[in-house]
Amino acid sequence: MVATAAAVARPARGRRLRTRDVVRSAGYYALVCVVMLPTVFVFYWMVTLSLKTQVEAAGYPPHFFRFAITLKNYAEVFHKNPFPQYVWNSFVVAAGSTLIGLALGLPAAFSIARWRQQGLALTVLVARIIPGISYLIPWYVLFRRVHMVDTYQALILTHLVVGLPLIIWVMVGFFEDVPRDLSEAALIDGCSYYGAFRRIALPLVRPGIVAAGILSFIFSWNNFLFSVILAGRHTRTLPIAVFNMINYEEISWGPLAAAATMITVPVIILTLIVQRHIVSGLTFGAVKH
Amino acid sequence: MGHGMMTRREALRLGAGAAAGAAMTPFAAGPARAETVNWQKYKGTTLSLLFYKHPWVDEIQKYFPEFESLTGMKLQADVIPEVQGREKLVVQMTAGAGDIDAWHASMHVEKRRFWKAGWFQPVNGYLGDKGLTAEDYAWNDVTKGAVEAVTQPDKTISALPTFPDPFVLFYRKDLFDQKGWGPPKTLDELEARAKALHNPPNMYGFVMRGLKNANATPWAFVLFAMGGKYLTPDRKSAMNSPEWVKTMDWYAGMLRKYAPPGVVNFNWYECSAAFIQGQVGIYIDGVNFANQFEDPAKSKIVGKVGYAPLPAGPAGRFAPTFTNAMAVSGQSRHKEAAYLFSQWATSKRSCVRELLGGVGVARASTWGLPDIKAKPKMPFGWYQAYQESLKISRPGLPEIVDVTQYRDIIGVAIQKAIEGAKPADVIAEAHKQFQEMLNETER
Amino acid sequence: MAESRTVPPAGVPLALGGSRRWARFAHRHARFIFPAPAVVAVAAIIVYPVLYTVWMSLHAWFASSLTPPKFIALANYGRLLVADARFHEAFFRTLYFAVLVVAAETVLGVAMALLFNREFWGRGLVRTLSILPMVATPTAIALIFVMMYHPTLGVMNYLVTRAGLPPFTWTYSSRTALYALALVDVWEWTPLVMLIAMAGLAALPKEPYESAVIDGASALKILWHITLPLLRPILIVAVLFRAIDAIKTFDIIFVMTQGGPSNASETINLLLFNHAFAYFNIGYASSMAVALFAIVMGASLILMKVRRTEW
Repeated sequence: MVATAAAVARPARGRRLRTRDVVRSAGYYALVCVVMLPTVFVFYWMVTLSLKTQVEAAGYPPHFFRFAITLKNYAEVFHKNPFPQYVWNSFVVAAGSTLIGLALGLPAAFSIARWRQQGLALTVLVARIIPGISYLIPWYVLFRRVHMVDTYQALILTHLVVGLPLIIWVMVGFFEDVPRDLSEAALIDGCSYYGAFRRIALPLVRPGIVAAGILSFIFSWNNFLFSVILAGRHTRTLPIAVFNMINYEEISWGPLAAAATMITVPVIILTLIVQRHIVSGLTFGAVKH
Repeated sequence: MGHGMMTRREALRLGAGAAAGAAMTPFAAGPARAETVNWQKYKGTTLSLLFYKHPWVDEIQKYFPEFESLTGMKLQADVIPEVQGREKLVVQMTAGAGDIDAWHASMHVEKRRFWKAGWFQPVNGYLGDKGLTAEDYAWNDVTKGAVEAVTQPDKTISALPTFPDPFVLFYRKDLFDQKGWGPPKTLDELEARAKALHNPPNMYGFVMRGLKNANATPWAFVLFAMGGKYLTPDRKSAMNSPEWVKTMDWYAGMLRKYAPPGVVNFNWYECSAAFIQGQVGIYIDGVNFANQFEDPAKSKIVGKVGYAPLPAGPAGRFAPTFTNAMAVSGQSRHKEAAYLFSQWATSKRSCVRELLGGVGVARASTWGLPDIKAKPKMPFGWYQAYQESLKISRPGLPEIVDVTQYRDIIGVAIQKAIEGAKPADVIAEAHKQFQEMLNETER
Repeated sequence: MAESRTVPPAGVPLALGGSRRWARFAHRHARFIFPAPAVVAVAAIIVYPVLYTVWMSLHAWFASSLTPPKFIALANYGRLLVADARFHEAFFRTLYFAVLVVAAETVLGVAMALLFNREFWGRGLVRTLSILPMVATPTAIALIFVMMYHPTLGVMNYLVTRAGLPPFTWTYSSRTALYALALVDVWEWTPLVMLIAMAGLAALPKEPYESAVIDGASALKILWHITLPLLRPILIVAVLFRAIDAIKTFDIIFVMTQGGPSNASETINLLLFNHAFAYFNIGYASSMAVALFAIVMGASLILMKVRRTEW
């Protein structure tokens, strides 16, 4: 941990803990709590909304802690949506596009890092810059012609547009970190570039692979625009469960919050499991440019 | 469920009884009359249907298995929220691939544009064809306003009406009773009552939509009451008239003076939320929003709501109505099969089921059935207000190609006026934009 | 690490001449072969939409039109640049919004990173929690905020009035709507900047600090003259990505205000959606899409240039 200019709240070794230090520590923790409050509050609100009845949910003044807990909202979400099917579809599409994204993106990132192919990096960025709407009609026409509407393949391919640039951008930083002398040595030994890639670079960037993969998965999981147009009854993905709570005549706030919570939960669990990797993934990618 | 609502099973039984009592239907199992419609003609066909999320759809979906066994067809229905649903419809129809056989059209948005695009399959021929339309389908049973909504200028009928949505007045009966009032009969009475009830921050007198585009529909009732028209006889903008300025004055004025804060961006859900929580005295919106008012799980004002047709203005009393209908796609490869579905979904029997489920229908006969009166899902006042409104109904939006853009234009104008701009100025601006738009899109 | 060699080990028959040639070819053109699958995949998926959009932008056509698209060359672009006041307003509004949120997110993100840049109990927990806004489904969050922002029934105004202030109008007034939306965006994306900044701080070299401490520099001076300049290259990358996404923000605005009140929160992307799917004007919408692309590309190139010169 680099010692930055900010004073460290913990006393140097050997010194007794003074009141001043304790107060400073307490003040620090208080500040942390205050800073984290907005984040935590919104999520807390979302979860409690999902546990309240409709009358309570829109009720005023709002009840933060004391309210009757009901699981009916969750029951309604399950009742109105084939939730297991949606989860499965979302998972297949997200995992599919992530795996393919990695298979294509890792060699590309390696190449961009090794041979400084800035133009290629920019080209890849273009796919992410194009407004999503521009894709809708041409894609529908295209996929229809090859009879791929309402298929996993179509969704996976289109989600690549979101995931692949992300994977490549994150991984370029990681690959740039791999010490050049290591690969040089391998090449002198008669190894091909492919060998160097496979046996030297890849193992070294494994944390980055996990990070990029998780990020790509998350963005694909949340993607709604493409799924509405290209998915059909069989391949519909999770975000639509949220929209199904908006009826012609009312918004069911409780079930809406329940659906939102349920969509977020798998992603959050995934995040918790690999949060360390995400941080290093994002940061490695940025730092070494 | 209290308040005269019934279980699904009771409703089904009543519906069956009513249908059997009403007329001989082609669905009857008995062979008393020779059937000329061969329901099994397209056996084995799979129909692709697109529905926007809507209570009418929720009801009719329950009976899909009945249709499937009646005809031997298979139904594949996509039920998607309206915005995304229309997006999908546009993409698919533009691709021209015939992927949709029929959809639940919102005539107030799609009527003219889709007609010009050839996306509606005219059903005049089918209606007259005894081999396709049952004896007792009774096209003349459909209310005049609904027929108007689905009939194009060249007399082609584009779809079969399912659900007319007139605007009605909701008011707090309990508060009105306290003051000895009946529902307001004129705009002036409405204003006076709103003013008397207005007592912020606990109670606001009145609420109506302020969000742009959404506000174009309640706007219509004031416009008609003031005698305004959308188009001149030669289909040019008629906005530059004193009626429009008067309408803007009244509309924006009411919302500025007697509505809850923030009303300028209220869509129906903010409005109805405020009403349901007991914060507003009078509310004007589509008749079907009332379903949640009478649900104890959702509403603080159960049993306290009064229903009435809209008040009259100098030019008369009108209920702007927005009609949904089952449309057969002009690109469909199973047009007649799709028509059979549309017919079944709008038949007398289906209408009875819908009305028993609390969803309004476009058939006059259904409303008068004794079973509906005996065990209603909604309070009697609601049915009354609905029926009376249907009698004075008029299509609420102009019959032009780009209805949505019109709604945006007037929508922004209303918002500006609510926030303080002068009515005459915003109307002049809107008139200019409207005419420009008509020039471009009505060619 | 002994690696496989192009010369096969003893005992195994020599590779055929063809395979040797392929190996040499592959080696020489590795820099093209590596990225080829990715580039081909991306190109295949986007080339048709790109061509379609550009082609369509040169025509006048409505999605519901029975007549085929009419070639009008650059007339759409002319209208965008000169005649469409609504687009001009949306253009400035979009840039204003993007600059606002990116600036706020950068400042807050760096500040939070500096704050959290030390060992303390619960650091891992804080890091996990602070990522959450980024990973939640944007539309769901937006709808929750709609409810929280309700002027008379929402929890935000409840808290505000309890603090003794008059109730805010949040998204329900044309004066405050854009800022209320910016607040949601900042809530959602500050964590991205914070995480990048934290990693950047972790990788800073020690020497400048040691000499500064010896010289007796104050904490503030160290922050301003050492930490921030060293952090700049890293921050630019975060700013780049946030700028791209901020200019294209759609979900939040569409769900919460639909561009209102009175177009006060209408950005280019929203206007684009309207023209395409509400007004059915595919030709004009395509030209707007190209314009939006050009704007984002322009901003990206500027930022990339700034980053490059900082080295």
